[in-house]
Amino acid sequence: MSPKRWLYTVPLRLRSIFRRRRVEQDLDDELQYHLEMRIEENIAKGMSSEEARRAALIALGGLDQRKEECRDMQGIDWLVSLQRNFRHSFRRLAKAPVLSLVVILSLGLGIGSNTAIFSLIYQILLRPLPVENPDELALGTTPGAAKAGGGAFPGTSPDSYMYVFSYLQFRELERHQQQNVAELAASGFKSAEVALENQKFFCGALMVSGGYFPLMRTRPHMGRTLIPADDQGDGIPAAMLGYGFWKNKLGGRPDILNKPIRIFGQVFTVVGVAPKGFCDMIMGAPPDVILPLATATSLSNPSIPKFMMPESDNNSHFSWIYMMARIKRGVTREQAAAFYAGAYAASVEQQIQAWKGRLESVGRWKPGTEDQYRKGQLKFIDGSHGLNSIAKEGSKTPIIILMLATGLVLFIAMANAANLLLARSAARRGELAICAAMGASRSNIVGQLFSEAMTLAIAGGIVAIPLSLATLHFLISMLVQTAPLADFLRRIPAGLLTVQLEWPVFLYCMGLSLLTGLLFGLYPALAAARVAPNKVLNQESGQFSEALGTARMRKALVCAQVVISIIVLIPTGLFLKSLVKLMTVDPGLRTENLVMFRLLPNRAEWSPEQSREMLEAQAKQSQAFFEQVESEVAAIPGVTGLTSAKMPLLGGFTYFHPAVEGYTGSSSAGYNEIAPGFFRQMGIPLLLGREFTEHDNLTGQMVAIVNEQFVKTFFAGQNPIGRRLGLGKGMASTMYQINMPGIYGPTEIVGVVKDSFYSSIKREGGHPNVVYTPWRQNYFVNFLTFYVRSALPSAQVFAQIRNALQKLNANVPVEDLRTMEEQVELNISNDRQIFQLAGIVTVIAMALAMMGLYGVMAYSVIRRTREIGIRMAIGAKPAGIRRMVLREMMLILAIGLVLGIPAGLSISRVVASQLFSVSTYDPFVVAGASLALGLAAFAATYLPAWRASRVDPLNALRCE
Amino acid sequence: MSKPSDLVQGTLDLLILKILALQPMNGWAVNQRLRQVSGEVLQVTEGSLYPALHKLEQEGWITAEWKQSENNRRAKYYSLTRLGRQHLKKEAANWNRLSAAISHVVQLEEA
Repeated sequence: MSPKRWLYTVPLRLRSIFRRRRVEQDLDDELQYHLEMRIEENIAKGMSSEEARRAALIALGGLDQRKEECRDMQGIDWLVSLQRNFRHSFRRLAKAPVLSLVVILSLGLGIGSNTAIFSLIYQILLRPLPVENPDELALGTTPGAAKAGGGAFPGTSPDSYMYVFSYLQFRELERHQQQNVAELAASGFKSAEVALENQKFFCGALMVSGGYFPLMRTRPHMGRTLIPADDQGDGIPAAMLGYGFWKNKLGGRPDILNKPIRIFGQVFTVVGVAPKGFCDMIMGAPPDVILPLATATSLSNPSIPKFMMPESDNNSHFSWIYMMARIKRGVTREQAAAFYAGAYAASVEQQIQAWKGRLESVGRWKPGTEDQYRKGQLKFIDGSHGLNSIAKEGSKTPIIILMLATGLVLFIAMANAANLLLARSAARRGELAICAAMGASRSNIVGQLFSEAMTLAIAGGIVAIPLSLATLHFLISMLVQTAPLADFLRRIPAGLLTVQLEWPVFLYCMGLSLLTGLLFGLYPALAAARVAPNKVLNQESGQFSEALGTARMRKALVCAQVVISIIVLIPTGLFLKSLVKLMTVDPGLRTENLVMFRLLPNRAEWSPEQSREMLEAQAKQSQAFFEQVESEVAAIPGVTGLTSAKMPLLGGFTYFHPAVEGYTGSSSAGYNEIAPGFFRQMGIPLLLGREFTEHDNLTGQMVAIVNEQFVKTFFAGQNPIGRRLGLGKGMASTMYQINMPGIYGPTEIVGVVKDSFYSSIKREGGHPNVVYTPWRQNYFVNFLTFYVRSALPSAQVFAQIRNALQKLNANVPVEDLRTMEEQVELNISNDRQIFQLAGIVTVIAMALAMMGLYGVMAYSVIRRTREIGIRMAIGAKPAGIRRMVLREMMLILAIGLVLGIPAGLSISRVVASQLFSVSTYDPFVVAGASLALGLAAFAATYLPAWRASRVDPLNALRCE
Repeated sequence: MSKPSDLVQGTLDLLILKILALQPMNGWAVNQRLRQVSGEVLQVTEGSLYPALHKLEQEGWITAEWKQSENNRRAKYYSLTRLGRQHLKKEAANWNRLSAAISHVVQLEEA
């Protein structure tokens, strides 16, 4: 049709659709006019008025037929019949409201959860960054293997180094920056302790180079953004606040500009607030504070003044900075990379210089690393989606797992819907046959049945919208929780995610519901229309039966549902077993009647230029405060024991590489700083040597206690008492950024303790190596965790502790006040969450599958009423009939289990990393899952079986 | 209904277009004119005129408006659109070719 003709036809069609009544009226008037003219003519010919009317109607050939023909000509007949089909469908579905509602709800659940996951995919992987011309952005990348220090850092994957550069490398590239080729900028994330007046916050800090905001073209919400001049590293550094942090944590106070804030005690000046919705392109998260990259060195070693830190330890060679570029229009990414290739090669030489000597001295430099490093080329990749080009990798597995789970739920819902339609079309075979006999074409019948499926699907899609928003809300709140989270979900950058259905997601939802309608509706519609009307009408008399093929199809669908149920049941069972094991594991210390709390006094102001005298004065002051707390709390009535440690047990960790004479391996060790008598108070047995005493302080000899595992790893099981340990030498302090006690003095081992839990209950392969030192030998004890043993109820102890601290009037909030049992719970909350998530999916899947099984069995019993009646008439017992029905179910179940168990086991391997001392091939779990499914199937079948056994043979046969 | 008129049924569209090309008319008038000009040879069932008119309207070849008829009543008047005129020209040419060819064949003398 040519566009010119649309000019005429489109308005007409629209008029036919939207002004239906008017169009009908016109049609009526037009034919009426014709009739009247004809009648007048007939009367003029001499007919009576009665006769004239009759003749006129005959001549016209039936008024209604003509009208119908005219309507057909309007070109919207298909639309009108569609409308009719749907109206019809509504009426039919409303006749079986419960069943229809169940199908609609389960479809809604399936479609809704899928839509929620799609929204995650859309937001994380598909949506470009909200910045100006995102297509100009690129990310710098080089091969990761060499950057990982030639294998110097055990346990890090080379891939995680693909996108990071060192501070010095970036500065080298930045120096050769040519704006007319590509602007360069860098950003990296650090956690920071931020203090403003008397408030203190633990924040995510974004470290950015001076060119970052000019490159991103970000306009500030308030004040100004950071500029290249801020990144020179002189004077009082500038800081920007994130919008969310400023609004929510600081109450959006307008007087924030030019206020000093302290970050790890170092003073910064607030110069601006980032705009709402600003998030770093790399981390995808809105930062709390944004600081110049030049201050990264002092923030990496908080509170360690320059005089204590050798130049080589300033972190400048560590690869942790992401580099992005805005490439000029007309320049390709390859050309830009080629332009910066020279500067990159020079920076590689610097890196090799910096690393080689230091790593060789500790025997960790692998020969050939230089060549590998030099061979690596700088490349720019598409950066329009920011980190998402990187995050794609990290979030792939969790998203696939979520997609799989919701896909299975949707499949089960679809199988139920198909089953319902098959059953209904079988029940209506007689009616459909009559329709066909009266001239309905096959396509009419298919259309009618199919529109029923579509009605269900569209209703499901509508229900899915609120359900998907709820699911999305649940998922995102789970993702952004600060509590320990499912590891595999943590890799999804949650900061960017919002609970809303954007257009593409909404279209996906609608498209998905139409697709599901097509999938589950087509077969039942075609199957029903295949039936030859004469056969049906001959053979049936009031009773209905269904074609063999349809019955088989329905059982196959239920069987598939059983397969899916067992597939989700097995991993859930594994999670449950793992969780039970975690809850019953022996933590290696006495957790009963133990209450913990943490104190984080405000840091004293410091600067990297601080002198040793100032440092020592501050250390003494903070130690004095902690000792005061100890004596106050110990004096509380009912308290039978008190001790303290820097790192909360099961609540944090610090790992480092201890230097032990004669040890050449690369094992790391956990680290904690404790008070005298710690092991006695906590119930951890001392095996050799002594505990720390009051005399192990800043002026005494540096001492350490190690655990059994440490002795096995570093001393091959020999007595280590009196041996020396390097805590701060070589790599340790720089690589793991610990606040080292006394920093560089050699430390003598004075005791060995039995292994106990350190940071996590869930630790495969035994306990980690752990080194303990006295916190009184550390200059930088900025926080401390106290452990109080008291037989009184915990609520009472909490109140007493709060009271005691109030007396000190220290203006220091009490944090993490809880019982040790709660701390253990918290430590495994991760696993509890995974189990809950898996449990929800499993319960939904099983409930839907059992609904399907019930439907099929109940229907099968009704279909066989006559047969059952005959069986009973010739002497079958009710119990026998019940067995017969149950046998049918058992067959479906057995086939489902045979197919499902291997599939479930292979899927379980995906989640193996989340399990705690449970093998993925756990026979008990498989047996338990099968038993659970069997019981549920039995419950679903029992009612139909019971009904079958209650069939009255007389009634059943009289139906004929 | 006699056989010859069936042949012409398919060309009803062409006839209507031709009649409307002369002047805008309502359905009744088209009916009368049709009978008149074909000398009552063409047996067009009165009713089949209307679906044909509606089809032509939907195709965009004719357009309709409500006007006072000569006897002072409201009637729906159809007139040709520009597209309709083009279409008529094409169809009329086709028809002439076809009818010429057919009459040529029919007039062949048996050898």
